[in-house]
Amino acid sequence: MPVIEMRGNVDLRKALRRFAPDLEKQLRKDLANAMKPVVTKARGFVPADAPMSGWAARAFSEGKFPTYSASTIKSGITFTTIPGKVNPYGFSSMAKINNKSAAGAIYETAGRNGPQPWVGPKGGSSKGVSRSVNPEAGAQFIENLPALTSSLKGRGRLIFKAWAQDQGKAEGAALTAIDKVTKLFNAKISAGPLSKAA
Amino acid sequence: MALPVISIGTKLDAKGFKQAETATDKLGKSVNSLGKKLGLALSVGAVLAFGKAAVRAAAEDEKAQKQLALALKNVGLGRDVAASEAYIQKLSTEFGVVDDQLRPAYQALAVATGDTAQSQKLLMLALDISASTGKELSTVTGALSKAYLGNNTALGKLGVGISKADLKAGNFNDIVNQLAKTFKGAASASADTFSGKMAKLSVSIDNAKETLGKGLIDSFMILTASTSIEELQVKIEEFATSASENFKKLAGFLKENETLIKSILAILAATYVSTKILTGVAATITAIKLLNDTYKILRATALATAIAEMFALNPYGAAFMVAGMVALIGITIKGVDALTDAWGKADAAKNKALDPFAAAGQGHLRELESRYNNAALKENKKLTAEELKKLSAKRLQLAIDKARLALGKGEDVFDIQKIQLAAATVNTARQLGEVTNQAQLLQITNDLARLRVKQSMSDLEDAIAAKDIVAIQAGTAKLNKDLLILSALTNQKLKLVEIESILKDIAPKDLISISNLEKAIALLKVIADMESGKMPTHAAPILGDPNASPKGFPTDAAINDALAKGSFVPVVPGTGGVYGGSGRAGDYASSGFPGSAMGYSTGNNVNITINAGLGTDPEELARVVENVFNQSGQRGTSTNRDSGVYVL
Repeated sequence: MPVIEMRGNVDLRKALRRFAPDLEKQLRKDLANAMKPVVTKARGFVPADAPMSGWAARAFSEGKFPTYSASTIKSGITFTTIPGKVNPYGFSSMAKINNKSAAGAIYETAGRNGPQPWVGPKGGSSKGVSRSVNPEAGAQFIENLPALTSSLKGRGRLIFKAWAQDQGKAEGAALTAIDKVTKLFNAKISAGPLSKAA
Repeated sequence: MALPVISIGTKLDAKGFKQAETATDKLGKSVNSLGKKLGLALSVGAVLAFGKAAVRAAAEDEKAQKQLALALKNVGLGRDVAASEAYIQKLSTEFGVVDDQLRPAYQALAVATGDTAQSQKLLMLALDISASTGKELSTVTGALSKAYLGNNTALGKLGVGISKADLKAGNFNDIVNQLAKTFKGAASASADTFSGKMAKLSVSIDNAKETLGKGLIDSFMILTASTSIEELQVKIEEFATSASENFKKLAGFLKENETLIKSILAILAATYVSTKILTGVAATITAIKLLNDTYKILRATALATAIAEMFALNPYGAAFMVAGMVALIGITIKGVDALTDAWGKADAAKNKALDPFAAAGQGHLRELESRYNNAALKENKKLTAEELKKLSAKRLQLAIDKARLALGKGEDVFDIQKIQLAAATVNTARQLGEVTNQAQLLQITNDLARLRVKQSMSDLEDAIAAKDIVAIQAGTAKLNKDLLILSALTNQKLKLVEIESILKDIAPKDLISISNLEKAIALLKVIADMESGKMPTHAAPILGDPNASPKGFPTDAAINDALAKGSFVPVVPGTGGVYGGSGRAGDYASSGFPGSAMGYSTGNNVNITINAGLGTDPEELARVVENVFNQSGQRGTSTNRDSGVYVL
């Protein structure tokens, strides 16, 4: 009897798609239902205007620093139910909530490690330093942003803030959905010509 | 740039062992990195790096303390050095500010103000301002120092909320009061924040580093016998040049003494089956002591060398190598220490109670040794007893032999019979020298012959008792001979030669003289002639030389005297037997007797006394006398009237 061995989320999802597409569909639906509130909330935390005038979008700029755009940031806050790739540490996720935009990421995480060291305009080309004319640019940028909100997943101002305020309900719902599908799948497989180990 | 992501349902995807390994490796690196940041000792290399940093931190801290103390002393605050240092440590612990920042700040304030209390007050204010404004502590303290000295420009640049007018017009105290009011509690509030708490933790870690480093420095100074850090640094630099060589020496020493160590172990193994356990253990302990003394010397050198190596080499590149060296040294030291402790205890116990096995927990070996020794002792005693017994037997036998020999010698001495025989022989020989007539000579001869027989009989008995065949045969032959001689003497049937030889054999040589011998021979000749009927012609007259008389005849008085004594009348030589002898013997014999023809009146009875030898048979003697008378009657010299009376 062929045995299907599923190791991790990727195998499970593949197995679901192959042998139980309905369960796969159900799982994706449940995960979406669990993550939607968080995503919605996170999008709500995006200020309509730039927190600081200097970060606002301008008609012309040769700078590479991303300008602030609320719409861009909001559109960048999404979720996905596709299992992610296995990271270098061997872990993969069943679902994700992303903040894909650069400005959104900057807004999300600015100030986590404090202002960057200031080296000035002539401070070389190393990364992680401030070459602003203003030595306090980094600190001032952070001061203009709202405080970071700590959650179990990390500190942030958008998705992490929403996740913190969600207080684990979304994760619980997602995990419940995963377990539910897994059980259904195992039951279905056991009853069928295929046995599996998941 | 990593985008913010919230992952849900994260699971380890163990698809492929390599991925898991990569995951754990990377996770491990992350953990180690975290450990380094937190100053945790997660590996030997981390320990070494931490130790190095600790030593440096301690050195720098001490340097800073000295500098602060010198500065305070120069401004007349030398008496407040300890109090100032304590205050700095308090601020460092409370607000999470490292003392490396506080000391320079305090020093600046102390130099400016010249007052400890003012300096501490301004330092506290500086901490509040720094925590509130985010300005560096050194910047704030510098501004405050300048303001104290009348220059408020730097203070104005701090942006502490004091206007330029106030800075120009107000005095320093007013400004300080205002600032204190404005920034009151800022440092405390900052310390209560998460970052502040982390800062406190960091300060504690730094202090721990300094403390640990100081301990390391002290230990290094002890190991290298340094009196100061400078001296320690010099020694470390010197050791650094031969670090590897010293370690090689230690390893080489262990290798070189591997045989010795094995020999010691062999000795230990051998002594457990030998009675000389104490000797073996003592020798082993001595050897181990010598080894340990050398180990101690090399240990200190090797450890200091290893530490110097740590300083000299690139800590990142050679940290693990040094770690291995130190670990090996540590293992060696630990092993040597354990061995030292073990044998030290054994040695102490031995010296204390002369029982090396009790301290080492080997009492059963001591008991075994005791039993063995007791058994050996018993065996020795047993052997000794047997040997003694044998020896005693030998000695006894020897004594018996000696005794027997002595007895054998003494038998001759203590044998009464032999004593008597010897005495009789000596006496007889003495008598032989004093004999005056033939009768005496004959008698003495008989006595000697009898003594001789008796002695032969005794010798034969001894030979028989000794079962000496040769002696028995000789003794038998000798006894027969002696008996024959005695028989001959008794029956007067001896030849002269035999008699002469008998006398020679009987009498002691020292008592035999020629004159006595001649006399005895002459007498025996007479006796022999009388038996054979011949008249001895050369018999030496007992009564003297007949030629001595006028006619060679003995005088009547002499004859009578001789007859009275019962001696024979010799034949006068040249008389044809007329005088003397049997022919005239009667005349002469009777002449002296009553009733003899020689004028002796008849009719008188004469009693003749015949001296016979000891043991003479009376009947035999009577037959001899009767034969004499019968012969005399036959010769006609006497008549027998059938009355049993012979008339001569």
